Amino acid sequence: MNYFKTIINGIFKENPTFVLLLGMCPTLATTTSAMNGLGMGVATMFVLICSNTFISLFKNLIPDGVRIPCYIVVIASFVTALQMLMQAYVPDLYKTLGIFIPLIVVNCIILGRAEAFAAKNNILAAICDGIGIGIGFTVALTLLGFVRELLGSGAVFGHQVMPTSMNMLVFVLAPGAFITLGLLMAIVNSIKNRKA
Amino acid sequence: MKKLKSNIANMAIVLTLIAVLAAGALAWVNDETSGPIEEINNAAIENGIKSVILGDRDIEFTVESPREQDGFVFHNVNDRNGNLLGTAVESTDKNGFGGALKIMVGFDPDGVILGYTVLEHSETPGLGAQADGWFRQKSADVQEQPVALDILLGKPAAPGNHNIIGMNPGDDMMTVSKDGGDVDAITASTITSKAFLRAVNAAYKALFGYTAADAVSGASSQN
Repeated sequence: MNYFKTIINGIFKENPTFVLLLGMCPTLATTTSAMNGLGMGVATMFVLICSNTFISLFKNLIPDGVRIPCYIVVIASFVTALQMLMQAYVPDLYKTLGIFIPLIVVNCIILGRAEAFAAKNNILAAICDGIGIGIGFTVALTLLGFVRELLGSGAVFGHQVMPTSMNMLVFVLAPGAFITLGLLMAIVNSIKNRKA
Repeated sequence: MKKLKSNIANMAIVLTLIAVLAAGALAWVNDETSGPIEEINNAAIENGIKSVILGDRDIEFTVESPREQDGFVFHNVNDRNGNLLGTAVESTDKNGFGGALKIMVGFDPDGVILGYTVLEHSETPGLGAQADGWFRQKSADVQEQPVALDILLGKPAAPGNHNIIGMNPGDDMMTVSKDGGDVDAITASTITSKAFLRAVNAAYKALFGYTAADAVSGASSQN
């Protein structure tokens, strides 16, 4: 198993957002600005790496019959701990992302990777998978947030670059999330097909 | 090591063990973080009280211990002679665009709004999230150059009044202009604006017992 390949795999070939289409709820809900997308991606990556490590480490101790409840308890614990730590030590980040953090528990990317990868591979591979998928998710969310913020509120990472009268409100709202996601997915797929 | 078989004993033991471990770990993290979290929250409240009552004025003040009532929290602020400077009220409206909107608003003893701050919100960035600045801007501050497109569409170039500081909910109609009030809503965020003004009115009502909006009709409070 080539660890580097596992990381690259998560970013491109199995990008959770553009290829696997996992975790659509936080993807659509949190990407109203590039900063929110980035923060959500990084928080998810942290939980993903922790849960992948833990589950890969104890995969033989967890009987198949109760594996899903066990994974959920592990993931929820990491998320809750992350939430408390952020609230205590990075209150500013928590203020912007606070409401999205509990969403990570129900993010199917994390359960999906635990089930599909961490439970079948050794610990190093599982960590690499967490990093790869995490980066892939972060890049996708940041890109989505960037486009929506630019078109919807005329700003790049909070800095106004276009006059507010040119804002297209729809891109900040839910329909804009679907439109942007669809177009980005089409672009990514067309690049991928050209390569193949 | 071989994988544990899925018999009832194994499953029960492993699941219980993981749950106990997780609970233990969380209890430890909670114990470690509850101190700093409380400090941060208290500091936020204290800064909020200072900014909504004093604003830029730099004078000595003391804050009485908070009084809670019906979901509102009142902080009386006195100057150093013990005279009441104003009261900061924490007020929540559950029906913002993205969920609960929690604000702190400061009234002087006559009920004039001295300042406000948004404590917690889940409003849309770029739209409802502007509430923290919008309701304190004088019209002149936000008057933008008329943009060609706006003129073509026949939109008014100059925004109206949406500065609530200095208003008194006992005398002024503190509802959005769409509802016949005196305050212009945030552009494209009427729901947030209504929730914000409801929270201000509710805070005033909890403190003084009535508002001007009440006198006209009960309908505006339900919108």
